[in-house]
Amino acid sequence: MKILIIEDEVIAAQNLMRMLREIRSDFEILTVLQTIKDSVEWFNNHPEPELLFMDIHLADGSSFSIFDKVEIEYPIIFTTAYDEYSLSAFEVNGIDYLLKPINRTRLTKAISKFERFGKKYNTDNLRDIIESIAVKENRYRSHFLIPHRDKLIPLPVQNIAYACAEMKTARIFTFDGQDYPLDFSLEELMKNLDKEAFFRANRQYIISRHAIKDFTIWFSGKLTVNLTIPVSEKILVSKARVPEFKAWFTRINYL
Amino acid sequence: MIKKAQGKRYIYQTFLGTILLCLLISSLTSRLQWGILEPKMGLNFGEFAVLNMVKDLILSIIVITITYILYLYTKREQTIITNHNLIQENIRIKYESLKNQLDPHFLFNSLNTLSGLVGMDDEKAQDYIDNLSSVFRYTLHSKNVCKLEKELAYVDAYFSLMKIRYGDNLELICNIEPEYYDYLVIPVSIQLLVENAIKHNIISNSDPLQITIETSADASVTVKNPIRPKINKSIGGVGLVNLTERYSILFGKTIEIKEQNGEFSVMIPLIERSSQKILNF
Repeated sequence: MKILIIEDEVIAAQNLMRMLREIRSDFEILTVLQTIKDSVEWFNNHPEPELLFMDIHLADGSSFSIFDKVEIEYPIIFTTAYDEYSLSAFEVNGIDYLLKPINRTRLTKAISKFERFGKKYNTDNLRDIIESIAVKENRYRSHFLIPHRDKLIPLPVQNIAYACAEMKTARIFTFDGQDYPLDFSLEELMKNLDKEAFFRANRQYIISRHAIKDFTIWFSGKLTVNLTIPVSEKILVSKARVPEFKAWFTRINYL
Repeated sequence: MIKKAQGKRYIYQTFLGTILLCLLISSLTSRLQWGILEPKMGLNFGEFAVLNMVKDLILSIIVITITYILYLYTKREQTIITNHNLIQENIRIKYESLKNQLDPHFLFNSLNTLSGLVGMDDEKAQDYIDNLSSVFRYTLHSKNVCKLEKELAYVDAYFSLMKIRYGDNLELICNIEPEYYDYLVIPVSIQLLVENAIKHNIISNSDPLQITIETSADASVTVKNPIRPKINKSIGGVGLVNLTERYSILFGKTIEIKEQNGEFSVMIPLIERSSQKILNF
């Protein structure tokens, strides 16, 4: 049986190989890949293995990114030290995983399970499942490093009241009346913020839940949001997006 | 202490004020009351006025006391609830803090590496265990400051563990002037910076990561590394913000974070022992 291992720590990989050979001497370990980059390259130039052991955290990022670039349609067993969100998602979707330190008994069990089910081992829409897990795993930034003269200042995300677009970049406004320029766009900023705490009100503004004082609904159906700190112009939410805004604002799962 | 005294004064003031107000109203209306009651009571105005005032005084004291007791009772209920919530919050924070100190990723990955060493290279395994226990022991101590020397020893133990896991893909260069060994830093500060460098940058055999720790003449220590960000930037850590706040609160100093020419550096000030009245380190 042809097995491929994706694992960035040498000793961990050696350990796994040793255990696999002890289970079945006829296992063929094709190779050990350490990075996302190497993995993608290998997949594009080699035939599929029969079974893949994939470590979630690799030297150059999360192995989930591999799924963006390559179709993987054979059984995978993930290995991880500790990944709160991913594990329950794996279980729910019947994706197999092994916790580090890898336990010989559990490894044997996983192998027998694979041998029983063969190619039907993993679910079909693996890619979609991985994508949804990857999104939840991507923990949002807790602070931004703001350039200030020749230094960087860490700005905690909870200080951000709102952000405003400025041509191709954005500017952050804090609760204590300061403002800081960013060297990336509002879109990029939104990607790095917790969607529960922040809302993209319109093309110009992102607002923090805590900054909202109240909002006014107009006859035309659109809505203006009033913040607890002064803003140079009105923040308008278009009629089409009002339901979305209301849904976001009244979400109960936000603690 | 101050709040308590002010509170008491406030209560006395309210008490006294209300009684005086009652007496005032009482004396203003006593003529009227006498007018209504006189036929039944047969007292002259003077006697009536005194009795009336005494009666109103007693009544007002009773009413105020009852009101105050009710008020205290409600407040007690509120305090119990607030207290309960605070205790819950405190427990939660302590739990999170402990969980963070433990760093599950670090722990389980370390144990996995250890599991690989056992049976393959027992001497290395023993060293690994020694370093691992040093690391955890250090993170448990809760002092506010420690000598640079100690912190560097801890970083050394931590880095030995990382080196076994990542081999030649990771390198640490230390340029420390011996005169600064006795200077003080916040514990786990330099280690945090080294850990961040490892967490956020690519470490592969095609691209080994070199981290440098060096002291400078202005009594500071800098941790720097070339920037090669990992692909999915899950920059969760509150470590850097925390460290900035702690240096600000404890010493009134700032740490300098710079990103220049593809290099990321953080400079923290070294505190001279004599300049601080610190009793424990």
